[in-house]
Amino acid sequence: MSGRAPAETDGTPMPAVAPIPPGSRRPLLATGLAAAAIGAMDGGMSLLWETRGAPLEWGGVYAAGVRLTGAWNLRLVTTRGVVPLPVADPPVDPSGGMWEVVHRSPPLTIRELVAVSPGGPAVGRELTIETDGGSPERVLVESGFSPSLAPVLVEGVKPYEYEVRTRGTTVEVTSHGYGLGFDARPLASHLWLNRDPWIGGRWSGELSSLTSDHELLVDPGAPATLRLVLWGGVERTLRQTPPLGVGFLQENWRESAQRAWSEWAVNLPKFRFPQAPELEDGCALAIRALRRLYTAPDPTMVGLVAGYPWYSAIWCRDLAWMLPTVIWLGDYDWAARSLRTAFRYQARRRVAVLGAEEGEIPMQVSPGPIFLFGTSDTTLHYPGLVRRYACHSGRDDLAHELREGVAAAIRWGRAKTDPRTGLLRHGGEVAEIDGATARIGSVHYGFDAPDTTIWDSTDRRDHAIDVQALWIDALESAAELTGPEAAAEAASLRAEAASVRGRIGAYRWPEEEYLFDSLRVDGTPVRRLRPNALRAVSAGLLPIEVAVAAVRRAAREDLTAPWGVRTLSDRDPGYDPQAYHDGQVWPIATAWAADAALAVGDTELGYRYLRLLADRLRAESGLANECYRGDRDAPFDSCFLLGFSVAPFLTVVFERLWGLRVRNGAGSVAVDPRFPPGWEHASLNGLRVGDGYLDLDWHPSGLTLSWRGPSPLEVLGPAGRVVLRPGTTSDLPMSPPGPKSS
Amino acid sequence: MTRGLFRTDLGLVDQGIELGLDFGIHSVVELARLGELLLHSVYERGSLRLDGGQAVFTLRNPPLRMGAFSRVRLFWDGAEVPAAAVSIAPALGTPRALAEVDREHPVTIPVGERTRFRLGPVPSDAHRHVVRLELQSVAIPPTVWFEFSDVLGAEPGR
Repeated sequence: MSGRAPAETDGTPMPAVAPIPPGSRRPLLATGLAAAAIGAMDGGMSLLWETRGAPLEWGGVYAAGVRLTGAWNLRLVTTRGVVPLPVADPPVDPSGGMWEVVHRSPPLTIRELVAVSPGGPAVGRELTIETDGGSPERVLVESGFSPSLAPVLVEGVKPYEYEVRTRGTTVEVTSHGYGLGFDARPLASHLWLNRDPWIGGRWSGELSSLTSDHELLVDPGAPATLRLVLWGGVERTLRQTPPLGVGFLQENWRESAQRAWSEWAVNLPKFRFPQAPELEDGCALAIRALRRLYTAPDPTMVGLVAGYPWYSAIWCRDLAWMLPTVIWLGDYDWAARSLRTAFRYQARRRVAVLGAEEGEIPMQVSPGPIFLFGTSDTTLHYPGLVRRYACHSGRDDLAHELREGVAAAIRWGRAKTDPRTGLLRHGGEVAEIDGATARIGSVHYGFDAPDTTIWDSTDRRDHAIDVQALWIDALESAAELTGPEAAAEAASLRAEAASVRGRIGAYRWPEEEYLFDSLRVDGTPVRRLRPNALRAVSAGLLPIEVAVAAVRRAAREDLTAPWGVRTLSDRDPGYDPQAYHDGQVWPIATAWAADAALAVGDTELGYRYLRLLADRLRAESGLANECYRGDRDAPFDSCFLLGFSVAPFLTVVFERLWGLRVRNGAGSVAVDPRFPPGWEHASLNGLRVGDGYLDLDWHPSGLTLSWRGPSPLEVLGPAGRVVLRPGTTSDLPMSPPGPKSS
Repeated sequence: MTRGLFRTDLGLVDQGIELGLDFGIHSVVELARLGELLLHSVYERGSLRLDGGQAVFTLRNPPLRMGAFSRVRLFWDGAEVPAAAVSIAPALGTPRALAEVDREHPVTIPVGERTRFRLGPVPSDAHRHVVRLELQSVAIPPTVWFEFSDVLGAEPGR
């Protein structure tokens, strides 16, 4: 170890948070099943991103539900000075698991690969350095990062005291039970903690940066390679043998990362919209974006994270919006494992301190495991998801396995049903949590909310309309999942669903030709115009004339901006264009509007909403913001990729634009396309139905169907039906689309 | 769509046994660890003290919400301290009176950095006091509140 100081003392400081360079606003994201790397288009692993109204640094490494580092900066130390790696060519991300960037600092060319382990909680960086000079170059690459080690489910909190130790060639950093490992080849020539030289061993205290340098000799015609790797998560998993990150030092994961993606993509359905290539592109980008969210930090915790950068954990509500798409994409295995994960953490009993009631599905699940409860709606999605899985896959094993979980979810809903109104009622939970914990500890904090509506998209207290629609779906799905031995229970569930259906008329808002957002227990309507009411249209809970009027009302400019649908009408006294729930534009709300419009046969309007979403995906290079300001087309307080900004869009394309529905345990498919006027052709190849694949080729006159499956498949169209035998092709006539009952 | 933790006494979970029975001991350990992290990572323990006749204390992280706040209120033993008498000074910023904070001029409590609060003259007794902060995000209602109790430390050098 020499006495060289890290570069900041050479006169060029290396702050823990790098200043934002021009053009760096587009994020770069590489993900594996247990890790992610976040950077920016300037090629560095640093991203300053507006968050809740302030710029915050989100670049760095994430693994197993833990943010391991802040920005991870690399710099070049040559005889000519110290420079950040200058970008020569824009980064490319050939698969979702990596990105590549070329840096040039004459006479050096540095090719950098950032690769995420396909399955492990690790991220590696490989620099291949070559010179076009005539003599060997001695190069020092300096690596610096600030440790974070905060679980991603904790918003805006990181530890400040850490323990650091060297173990073999690895530097380990731990805090509060979370840990990271750092290793490199060639090994570090020097280490610094807080910019003070460190010779290794053990150290503890406040830690703001860990810096190392790595010496390479670059001969003309003989590139030198540096590999750096970071891994971690919960501390007890840090010290596996061999260490988790060592694999990268031997093999750079390029091939395995690409293989993971290509193997997944090979069986995906393929959309073709010759009259709408933008929509076709948008679908392809959305599918790719969804795959980036796949997560499996351990074998018992499988699903999709909600988004990046700050929601990179499994949120079961978000998962519920994504799983229908995963099923339509034919990834039954992932859907089944995801459903098992959600039900694994279903509350077995009341746990007041966590806000959990018996039968409730958690809102968040994170490695540890850590899970937190308390939403109006998450639990209500899951009976329908189990039913949907069984219908599509033709497999009833999961439905059998989760039967008690579905029954518990229904008991949860029944317990929340208000006998005075017969509607599901939400609210009041936080008071119970406060009561359970009020006397403990010297530090308390929380939200100034009377209940757990803080978890909800809007104020869902009392009898919110969309919660009732979900409750009806849960009851009907549970009835469908009930075996023949429990016919009485199935009848009871259907009767309960019918009873709630019968009460939806009370939500009609004649003055607005819309639906009230909610009803109070005393029947007082909540006169707020939100897109949530469109879920009742999509669920077919309204007479057709009421449904059509609601769709048209939602399309007016106070709720629908040119860049999407707001969460609240801008005429509402509580409207605020930058309020998350009360005025911002949300892609998921736009997808709801598309769904409802297509459901009532307003094809042009529905298609316009879909195009908005597709154009967003294209403009954002395959990422999809969570939300935008209500008064102008600009993201605000927005994750740059959110699952429910892409998945509902795709589901609408399958279920409404194509009009597809899989029935009877994958033995039957209904198809009733709602393509815009003027379309002459569309196709969907490789749609998985049960254990087979269906190709659909549409022209205005009819549909040509090809079936590759083990048993016959019935296909129902608006003007007839065919039964396809395995390996056969057949035509199905179509009738012109027209208004349909919702 | 809204996220956040609504309670942080998880480190003192008295229902851990039930959780352990249902979900395994690791879930109890990790929830307790999470609680411990939250309990120790916001208020810097022991930082409440007198300084020039005024009370000062330090936060190391924002409580529950990150980002910009359009309104911050501070309560001392249950009584609100006038916003003009409270200043907030992020490690890399200059002090600002809470009265100057509004939607157009929000304040950010940085993640992982010290933010010092200074409030006007308070009784210089060495008793335990309760300090409560209420913070309004520019993006997401409702108000976030944070409360700690600690013994008021003496002036430096005494």
